Amino acid sequence: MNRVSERRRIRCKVNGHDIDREVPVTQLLVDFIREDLNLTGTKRSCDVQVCGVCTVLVDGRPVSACTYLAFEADGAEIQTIEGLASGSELHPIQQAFLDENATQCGYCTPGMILATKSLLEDDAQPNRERIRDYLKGNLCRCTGYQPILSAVVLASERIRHD
Amino acid sequence: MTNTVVGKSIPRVDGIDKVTGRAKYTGDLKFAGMVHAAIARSSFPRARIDVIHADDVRQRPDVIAVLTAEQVPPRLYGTFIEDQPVLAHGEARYQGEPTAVVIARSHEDAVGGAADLEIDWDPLPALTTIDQALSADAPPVHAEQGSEGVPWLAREGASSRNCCHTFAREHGDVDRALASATHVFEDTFEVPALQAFPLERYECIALWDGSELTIWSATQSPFIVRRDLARLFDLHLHRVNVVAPLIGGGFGAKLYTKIEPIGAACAFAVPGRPVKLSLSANESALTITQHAARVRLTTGVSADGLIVARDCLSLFNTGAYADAGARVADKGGYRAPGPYRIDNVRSRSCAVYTNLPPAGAYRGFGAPQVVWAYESQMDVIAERLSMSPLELRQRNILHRGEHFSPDDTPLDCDLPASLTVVREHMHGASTVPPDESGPWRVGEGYAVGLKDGGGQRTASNAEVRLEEDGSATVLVGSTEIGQGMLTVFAQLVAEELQLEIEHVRVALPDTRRAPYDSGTNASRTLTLVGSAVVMAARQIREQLIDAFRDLYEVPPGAQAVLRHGALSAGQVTASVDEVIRRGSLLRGGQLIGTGYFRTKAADNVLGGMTAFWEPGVAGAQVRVDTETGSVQILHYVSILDVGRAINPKLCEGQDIGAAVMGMGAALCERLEFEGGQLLNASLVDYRLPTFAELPERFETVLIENGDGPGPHGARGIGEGSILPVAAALGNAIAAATGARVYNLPMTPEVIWRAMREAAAAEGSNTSVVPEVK
Amino acid sequence: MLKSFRICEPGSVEEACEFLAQHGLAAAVYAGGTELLLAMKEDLLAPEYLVDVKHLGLGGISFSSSGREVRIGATTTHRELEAWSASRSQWEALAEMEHGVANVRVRNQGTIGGNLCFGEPHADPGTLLSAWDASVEITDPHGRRQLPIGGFLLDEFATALAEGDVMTAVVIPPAPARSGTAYLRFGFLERPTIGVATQVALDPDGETVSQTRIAVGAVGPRPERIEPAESELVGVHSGTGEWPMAVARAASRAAETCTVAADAHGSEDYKRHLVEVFVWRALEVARARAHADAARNAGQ
Repeated sequence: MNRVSERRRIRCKVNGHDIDREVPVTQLLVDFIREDLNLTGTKRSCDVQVCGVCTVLVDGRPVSACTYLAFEADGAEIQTIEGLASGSELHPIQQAFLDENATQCGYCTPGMILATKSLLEDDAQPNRERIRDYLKGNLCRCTGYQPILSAVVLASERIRHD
Repeated sequence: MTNTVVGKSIPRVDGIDKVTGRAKYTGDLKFAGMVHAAIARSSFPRARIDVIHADDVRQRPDVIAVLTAEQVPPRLYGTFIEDQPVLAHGEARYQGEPTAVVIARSHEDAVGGAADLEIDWDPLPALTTIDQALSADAPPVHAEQGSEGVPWLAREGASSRNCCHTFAREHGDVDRALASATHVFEDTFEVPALQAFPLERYECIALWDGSELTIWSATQSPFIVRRDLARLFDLHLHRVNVVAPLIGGGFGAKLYTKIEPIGAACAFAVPGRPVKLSLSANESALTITQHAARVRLTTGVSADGLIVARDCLSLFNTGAYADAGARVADKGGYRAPGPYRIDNVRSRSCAVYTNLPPAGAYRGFGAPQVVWAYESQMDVIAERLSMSPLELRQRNILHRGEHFSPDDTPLDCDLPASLTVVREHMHGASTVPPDESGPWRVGEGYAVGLKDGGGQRTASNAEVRLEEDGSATVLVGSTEIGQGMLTVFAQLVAEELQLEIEHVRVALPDTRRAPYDSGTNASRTLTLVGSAVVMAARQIREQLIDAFRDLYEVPPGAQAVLRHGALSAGQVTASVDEVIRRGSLLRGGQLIGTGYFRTKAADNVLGGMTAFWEPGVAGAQVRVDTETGSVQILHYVSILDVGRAINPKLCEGQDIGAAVMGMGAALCERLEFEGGQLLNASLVDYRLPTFAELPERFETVLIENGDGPGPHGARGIGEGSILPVAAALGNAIAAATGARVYNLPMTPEVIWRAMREAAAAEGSNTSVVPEVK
Repeated sequence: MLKSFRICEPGSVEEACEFLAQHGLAAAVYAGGTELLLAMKEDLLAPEYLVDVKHLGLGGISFSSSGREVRIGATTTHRELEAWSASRSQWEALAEMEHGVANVRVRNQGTIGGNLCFGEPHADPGTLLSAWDASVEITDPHGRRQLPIGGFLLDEFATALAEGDVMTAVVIPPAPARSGTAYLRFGFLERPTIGVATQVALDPDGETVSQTRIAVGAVGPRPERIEPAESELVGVHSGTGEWPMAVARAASRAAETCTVAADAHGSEDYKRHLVEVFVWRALEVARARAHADAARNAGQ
């Protein structure tokens, strides 16, 4: 039977926490995360899935939260930038971004770090070409990318040698 | 004094917040009772407003108010020329001009209301190009403008009716020198309008509480916004508080007043409730652009390759409102002759009104346009003279101590050395001969840009407070746009007061607490505001030493020093906190130091002496696919003459960032307008540089001669590295293919077409498909 | 911002078809949403219902019982296709094509069916599928039908889909023996300026071209097979001087006959030139792959 709805109940995990909410089906994931959950680390910019600042991981896969309906997150595990560090200890990718000055204004950083996380889970030791190719869907206007490239290499080394 | 943190690449102090997502930008702030505003915009580039049918939207349950020109102050605003209304009044002058604003309980309702607001327009013919606007029969964009004719524009056959602002400088006898020069080159170059696209779009939150207007805004110039709002809404300055949280990139696009007047007008409409105004990416593209420009250079050269005269004409399309256009025209015109020893110079420029979105500040402020022109022409000249482009530059380049303009500060940096260094790095030992098989052709090119840095006649203040526990707070009016202001000022103060870096905190500005600063622009913050910061810290050091001498009875002859949180003189020592506490019976206290730094006024064309010179020197090796025209940057060397690097890694970050931004402008970016309608605001159609465009090899070479006027001999950076990019790439492309491009961007098609024209000019019968092997 | 709509979750493909037939233009099929939601944000489309077809078992990639025809469920994501083809050497062209689609986030969300149904001319998959003579399977309230891809993609943003239709699969016929395919993409904006797919098949001698297919996309309103160019290569010996001459003729025929429209990606003459360049290049890659395939077969 067709089930037609204007609102949906979603039960999901966000950064390991159980979430149980009802959302309008028109709500975008970026608004759910930023407005309903108040996790403002996820940014919004181009709104057309090009810039990557709204990148979050849904079941480990990067998606553009600006073009993803929130109700689709039902049953999923969502990771935002807020869920990466454990307590005051930074994730190795975060630490590497800090060490390599791979963040300037910081607006692309949450999305860039999450995209990096998904890259390193797919390929623990990506070469320069792989990094460039994988991250070309995340824009940065400040750093010129080179420091980010260095940070990804550094993070991959640290993760492998831990 | 021991050197503790200056010169070290300490991690940026806002870095942890930024990598963890804790960093709060304007759009992340939430306030109880906050309502939302959205803008209804003009659908036409030029049209009279007949009727705004606001009642339907006004009566919606979730809509709180709809404002049109009648409900906002009638005054105009603008930093250099007050010509911009808060909302279009009677007539809209560009497609996308704010015409009404809807305030609603939710962002969705506000945007929906604005989209549904019906406006009856009476479209008028629009002017979109410089030529249209300067033609004799052009209707004036601003009726009140340009009544007086500008003689030199008239000699160019141009009407002055849409002339927003002109600039002229001249020395020597240009006409005579050109008449007697062995070679005369006349070339015209063009640059299109661009969007800077800081990833954070325009956001502000405004609150009128009945006595004070507070506005949180992603602005590079909180004090200018404060002044404009105070004037517009007839308030004293002390009743306006502009707060600038962390900013997600500026690049000039957030310099001067932008959406704040609309935000403030909304706040007055709903007293006691914070109103949030967030623009979409498409709206942000309509808010400000880089100036499209046309630059004509007439250059006389002697037989041995010395430039004897240069006549520059630079026209900037400033759109419907001046914004920074007047100053961009000044700076573009001032800088257009280039960093060369030229005895006879004439440079004129004009900002022209059209019916396009306003053009304003963009990294480099008029310099990217003119450097593209003069550094491309240098290679044209070199080719004609059969001289190496670097040799031609070395023969003419200004040396330290020489004058760019007779009545300005002499050059403070070493350009000839930079030219030598860039060549060495381009031809370093590790350079592998590139693959030129198949359709690929390789070439290298160089360019030098120079801008007067820091802005003229600007003033900055700083205040440093040293607490009794030895921690310090720095208050400045500068904004953190990613450049690292929070970090380097902490380094400067930690150095002066010998504190641990963790014990120094630089506060983000709000105009009520922070001391005045003219703005975060012109690469000025470290050099000018930083000087005020150092002064303030030194004042505290003097106060500490005085108190120490007094309270600990240090003998007059003994020298007192501050080191590692303690003062000592001979055998007498005391920690900083002891000194401060002992100074107060209540065993508490605080020392406050202030600094004020102002650049010198002068009776010259810019109205002040240049604080420092900011160069950009680069070399590029490119590989061109001659069949498609696409370009790959194999090797890029950028020379960053920073004077002294307070934080080398942050310096490198500015350098690479500026260079890659310039690569986008050089190779792919262009705002397309059709009949005044912007076609490609969205990133689907407007391509910014991505990871894929990063050069195969990028080198930043820091030059540290300690010859800058800023703290520790530093000189401002941030813009210099964008200046030479386009010309270095254009020169490399010309070297690879024999084809020269005059109009940016150098897209594959543009390069392909230039190659075909070059081939046709040579009469050669070059095949357009691969050779049969 | 998205305007108001409702989500319809049908219990079966048939229900989806009926719902779509009943609501006409007020309903739109919703899968990955990467194209649809963008169009809705821009207010180009404003459906009242989004019919979610993601939970109808329309995903997955399978070989037919004969073992060589491949059926790709319409809701298979680009990323799934990319991963599937990357691990199979004969499918390198599919892997390359899919890898070039937008960015990793879009590939995670966007589906092959959604891509085709949108009819966006500046897209990649339709071009490669055209070179493969692929078909699409469409289910409507009365049953199923198959359409060749060329009969499906009709014009820019126009397909053969009627009200009540749901694309359920893409079917790729078996590759000819001793063949190789190439897909090349070029552009400087977010979407491709040109995509060219070529397939070259060889006779049992492993040298003579038995069949060629050339498809050009993104330069015109829809992917286009260039048959006059294809015929230039049949019977040509691919290892001799005949080959480059024939490739030159084919490339030039393709450039002349292809439907090209000027737009923000380029003028007409530049695009025709690109057709010539990329048909040439893609044929060279396809030939090398056909030789490799022939060698593999011979070795077996």
